Amino acid sequence: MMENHALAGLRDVDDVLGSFLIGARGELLAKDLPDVFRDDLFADIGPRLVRLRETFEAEGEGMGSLLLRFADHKLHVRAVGASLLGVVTGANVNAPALRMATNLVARRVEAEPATR
Amino acid sequence: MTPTHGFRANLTASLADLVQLECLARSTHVIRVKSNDDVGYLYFQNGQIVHAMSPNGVGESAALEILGWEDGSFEPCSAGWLSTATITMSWQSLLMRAATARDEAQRDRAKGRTVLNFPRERSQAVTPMPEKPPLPLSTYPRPQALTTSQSPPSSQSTGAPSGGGIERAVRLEADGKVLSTRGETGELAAVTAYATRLGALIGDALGMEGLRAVECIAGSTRRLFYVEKNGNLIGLEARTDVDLGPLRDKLGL
Repeated sequence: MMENHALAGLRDVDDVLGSFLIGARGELLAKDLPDVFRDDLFADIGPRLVRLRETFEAEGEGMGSLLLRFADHKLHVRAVGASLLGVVTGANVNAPALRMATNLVARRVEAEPATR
Repeated sequence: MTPTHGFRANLTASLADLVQLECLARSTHVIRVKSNDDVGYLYFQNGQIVHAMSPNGVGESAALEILGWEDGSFEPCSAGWLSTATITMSWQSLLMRAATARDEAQRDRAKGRTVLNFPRERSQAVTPMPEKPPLPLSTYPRPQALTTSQSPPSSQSTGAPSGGGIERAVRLEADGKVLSTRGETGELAAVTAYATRLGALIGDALGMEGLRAVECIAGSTRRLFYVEKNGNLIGLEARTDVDLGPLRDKLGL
């Protein structure tokens, strides 16, 4: 697994509950979430996110970002190379601040391919 | 409201686990939580936490305060019932927020920083609750449901520029039957049904309820999928330079 501190910067943004990084095959690469989000949950979540990406990319264009809106939460997903960076937030997260923080983390993740 | 039958147990578990048991059992009663010198009350109605009182407040802040306690006791009690609910957030969300706050407090402690308590609502002083039978959950305020038009979204209804805007759209029943379309929909119906299903499954696994919308940006194309109040699904596709702001705002995106 990648070092989780690479993701920690996302928590600087208000209303961010945590984040995770999924590999091209749906495997969990890194996680910065409260303990209630056990690693084994991602055995389902990872492959489903990959399938969702494949669904959207079926017509040729690469997926840039994905946003899932739930009653009280949002899941923001960003393609980082072959990986997917997921950020769990409250519904009222500051979107521009999150976008900036996500850009920085994505850059850092892309710069550490050897550890993935 | 204290259960008069059933097993009594004396076990050691986390407060989050005990709360989950109550919620999954769709309990309707009041639980008294004691931790050191503090006492708090959690009000369960059909498996939802609808109210909480702690030494420092009521409502969500009280529930979060109680859920942050690390040890103590947990028992049903016959506290007076509430006349109005003060918590509309789902129990999964409350547990998630409590877990996040606990994690952050632990990190702060590890770093030697001062740990702040949950917001204190002194202005909402704890007062005795009237003895009343529980209200049906449907009478409590819930998050406002989405309202949408009855036809696939047009550029006018979404606020998109006239003449441009949405290139294709489809409306489906929850079982996948296509109700109406706009433009050459191709695989859009299938993508709509599958994406919303996968989104809901991902949310379930993360403890996030009530999928409202999925938005994907791929290249110069924005795809938006959402669930209408009646359970129908809408899928639409537009170029990314089309202003879907009003619709996105309505969906809370």
